[in-house]
Amino acid sequence: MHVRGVRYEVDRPLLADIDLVLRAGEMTALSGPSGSGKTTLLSIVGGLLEPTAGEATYDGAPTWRGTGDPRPEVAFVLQVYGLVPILSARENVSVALRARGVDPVEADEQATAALARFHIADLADRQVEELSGGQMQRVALARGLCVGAGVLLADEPTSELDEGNRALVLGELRREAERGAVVVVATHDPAVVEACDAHHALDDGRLVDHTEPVHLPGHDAPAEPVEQSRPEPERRREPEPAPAPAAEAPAAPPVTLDHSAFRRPPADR
Amino acid sequence: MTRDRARDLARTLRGAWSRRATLTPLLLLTTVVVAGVVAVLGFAEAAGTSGALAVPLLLLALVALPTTGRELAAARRGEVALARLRGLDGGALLVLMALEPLLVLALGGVLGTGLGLLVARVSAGAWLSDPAPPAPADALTGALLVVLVALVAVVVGMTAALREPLADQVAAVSRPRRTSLAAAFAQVLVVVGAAVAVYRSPVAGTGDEQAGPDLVVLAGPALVGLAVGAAALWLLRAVARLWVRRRGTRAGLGGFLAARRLTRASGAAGAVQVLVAAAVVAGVALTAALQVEQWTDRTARLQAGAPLRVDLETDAEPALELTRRLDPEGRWLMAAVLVPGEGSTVARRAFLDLSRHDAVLGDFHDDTAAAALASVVDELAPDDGSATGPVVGTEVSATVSGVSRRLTGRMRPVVVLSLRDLTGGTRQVRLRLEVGLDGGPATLSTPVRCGEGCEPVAVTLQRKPGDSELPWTLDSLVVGDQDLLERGWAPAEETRGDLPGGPVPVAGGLLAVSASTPLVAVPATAALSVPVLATRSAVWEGEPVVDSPGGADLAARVVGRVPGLPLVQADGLLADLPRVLLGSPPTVPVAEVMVLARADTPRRLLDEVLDETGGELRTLDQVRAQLSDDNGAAQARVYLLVAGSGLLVAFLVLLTAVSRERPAWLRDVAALRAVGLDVRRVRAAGRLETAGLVVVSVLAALLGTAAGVAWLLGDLALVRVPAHAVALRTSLDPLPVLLLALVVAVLVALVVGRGRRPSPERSRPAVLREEAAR
Repeated sequence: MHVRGVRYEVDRPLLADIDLVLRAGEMTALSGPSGSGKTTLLSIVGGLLEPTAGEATYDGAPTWRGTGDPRPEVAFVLQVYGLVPILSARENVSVALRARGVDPVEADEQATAALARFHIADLADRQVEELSGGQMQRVALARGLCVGAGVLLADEPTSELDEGNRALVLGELRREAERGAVVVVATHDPAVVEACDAHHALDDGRLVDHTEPVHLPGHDAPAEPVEQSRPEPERRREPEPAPAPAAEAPAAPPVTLDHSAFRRPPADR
Repeated sequence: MTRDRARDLARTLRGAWSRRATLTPLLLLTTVVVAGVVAVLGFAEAAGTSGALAVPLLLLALVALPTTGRELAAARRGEVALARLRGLDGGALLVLMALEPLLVLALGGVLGTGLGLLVARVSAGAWLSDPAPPAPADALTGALLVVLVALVAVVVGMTAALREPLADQVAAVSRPRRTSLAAAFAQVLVVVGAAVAVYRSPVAGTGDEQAGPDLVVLAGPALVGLAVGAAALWLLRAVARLWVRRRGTRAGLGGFLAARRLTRASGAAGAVQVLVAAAVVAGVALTAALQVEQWTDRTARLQAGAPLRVDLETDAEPALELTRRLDPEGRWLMAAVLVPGEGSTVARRAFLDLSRHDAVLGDFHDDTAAAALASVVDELAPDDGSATGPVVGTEVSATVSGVSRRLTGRMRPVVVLSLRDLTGGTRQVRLRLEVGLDGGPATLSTPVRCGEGCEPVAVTLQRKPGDSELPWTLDSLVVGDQDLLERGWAPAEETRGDLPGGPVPVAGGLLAVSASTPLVAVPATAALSVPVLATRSAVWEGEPVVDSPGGADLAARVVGRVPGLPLVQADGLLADLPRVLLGSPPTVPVAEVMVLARADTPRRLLDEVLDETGGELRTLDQVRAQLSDDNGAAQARVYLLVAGSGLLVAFLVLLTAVSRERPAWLRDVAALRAVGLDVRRVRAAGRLETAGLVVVSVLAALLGTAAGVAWLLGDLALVRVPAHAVALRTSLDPLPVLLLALVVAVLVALVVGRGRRPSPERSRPAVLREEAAR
């Protein structure tokens, strides 16, 4: 998935000059302070918003379809959960499957299995309004993960979860990435950032920092992360070169290998 | 201090303005309810009728307003939570919350009062012929009471929301509201109230009029509507739940989502209950208005007797003479007498010059209780040439003949005809004839004073002393152009041994048998009796008798029984006027003598009647208006006004509920679109949900209206049926019921359908993100 020169303005610029490559098989973290544009960027990546300039593409096709509806290959785990209160937990999950043409009976079975992945199969018949925030978040995760989408965009997926459930969720997100999905997680949580393969930091609508794994030639799996610093935001306005293949290492110098998982945001953040 | 208060007031006004979307429906509801109540009370003052007709409207408002109060409190959840966190609680918190709705209610009260007084004035001017001068004291008191009751209802609705746990009030995600004990109790109360209203209805219908209308029965249609609406919604939810369980997994996604939404107690569904109740009240009111209008029209026709009526201060005979003189062809005018005897039903009697019935009345009574009159007029008023009634002529001729030849002796029959004239006086005409030896017929004529009509009362056949004892026959007895022998005659006395009781009626006439005594024949009883048409309530002890306009007892022959008759209405008798006037004493003083006339009677003719009699012309419209005023028939129209206000209230409640639900519904649509559902399928689900609500609300409205009409309408006392009037019979009329069902279907389809039509722009999945950003 490529994000090229994306700018988004509503009265004022909310995102500016965003260039990203989000690779299949990787978990990518988007971090940044509140209002930095994480959710807006996820929405543009998922095709919910039309960028003012630039574009986001998946598999070569723009994600924006002109209606604000996501492409079928894209699944969301929304920050506000986006659950339908008239439906039970299982029905909320199975609706997503039925919308993709899965047979209703099979959809119900898969939904129950998806809820079981997050240890809430016993809540399957409850109305979602009766669930706690954490339980609703896990229903939303089950719904996002069960459809086997090519792109999974999760906005603060662990904000309501305890440590144990956070680990469970990260494990499930990792499984999605290992399945070959593009997994992007917007988060404030350093532990989530740490669990991701790549990390892009946003501030005031601009990418200010990113860390990516090094992809060594001849290795399929992500290798060591590569850190890139962008102290000068203006540099981001330069035209992005053609995206590198997923298996190639980024060419932009300087490249610093960091054997700790990720580089932390700068101290002044 | 004053500055502080001004600041508080300014803050309250600012708060109210910021919540104008929530407060506007409350303002409109208050305005409509107060306007309806004030209009009813104002009209009641002008018409002298009961103001209790506003009860159904108040009941609907009482159901709608607590919901509005709850929503008001819900709209201020954050503010309430903050106040509670700052230690404000109990009465102080309630006062803080109640201030805003109080301002709105006061404004609605003022607007509604003005509107209601205007409606009362216009309706009284339009529907009453003589409205009382406006005295709006009761109406203003009513408006004040409505505002206070509305405030209490809103505060009651708020209380439940205020008592919500603080943790829920500060939560970002709203929790489902379980049905509170009070709400469940209210539903039970509605069902019990409906049952009590139906049970009390027959009792109230026969109750004391002085005690006023029974409020529970008046509220009955609204209670029945609320109960039927609640039952229908419960059934809808049960069916939807069952459907989801049985077929939900195999059905299309649109149907599944629609059924799931219907299983939930959504605001729109709750508002449908109010709409059903309003439709039932409107259905009952519309049926009542139509049937009371019909009753008023038919009763006015019976009461008036004819399209035009001139009441006279005279006796019956001059009236009869007047009509025959001014209208000799009998095309326009008809004399009539009503004797409103109060002693018994049979003492109440009407007499019409029925020979003119077809020309003057025609089909005037065709759709009234006296419709059968037209078919028996011939029996009541035989033609002049028929065998009953008075005869008119100046000469009488008798023809006699022997039964055989005779050889010797003389045969000198004497025929004596006894007559009674119009004044009641009797006279006899004697004809002396002689039959030859061959027994051939002999005829003799002699003058008679019957130019104005006489009633034959007896025929005596006798023979002179020394004459032959052979029998002879009276072959004809003609007065004017009528042979009296065509009438039925019978011997005056019974035959005892060899003593004959009178002449023997034979095929050719009357046979004078061999007897030396005079043989007297009298008209047969059937021919003597006056044919009358009686109402079903008329009963006699013994043989039927009808009193003439002068009070003379006349043997009566009942030719039929009908539910109602002109002039006497539901109680009394009707007979032919000329027939009963013969020999009748002067008309009794209580009798109402009148001239009835066709609607298109030439003005010149009417002027002549008025000039000669000094009477007063009354049209059918005047009689109808008087009847309507005297018996409060306009109440049915006022009830219709109440029903219209109720429908408006229900429409506002439904519109408010759907509008208030719409943002949350759009969020749900956005969430469904975010997981891959396209707008088309969501639109289909919305259409199915709307169709479900339309079907249920229409069925409930039809059922409730049928129940309301069958069980309650007849006892709502919308009109005071006066003594002797034909009773108001209510029945289910398909036209108003179907009309109301159509109105309900259109309202639900428009309001809910519009509310469930997804706006592609406002239901974009991105709105969820924007909401989160807020």
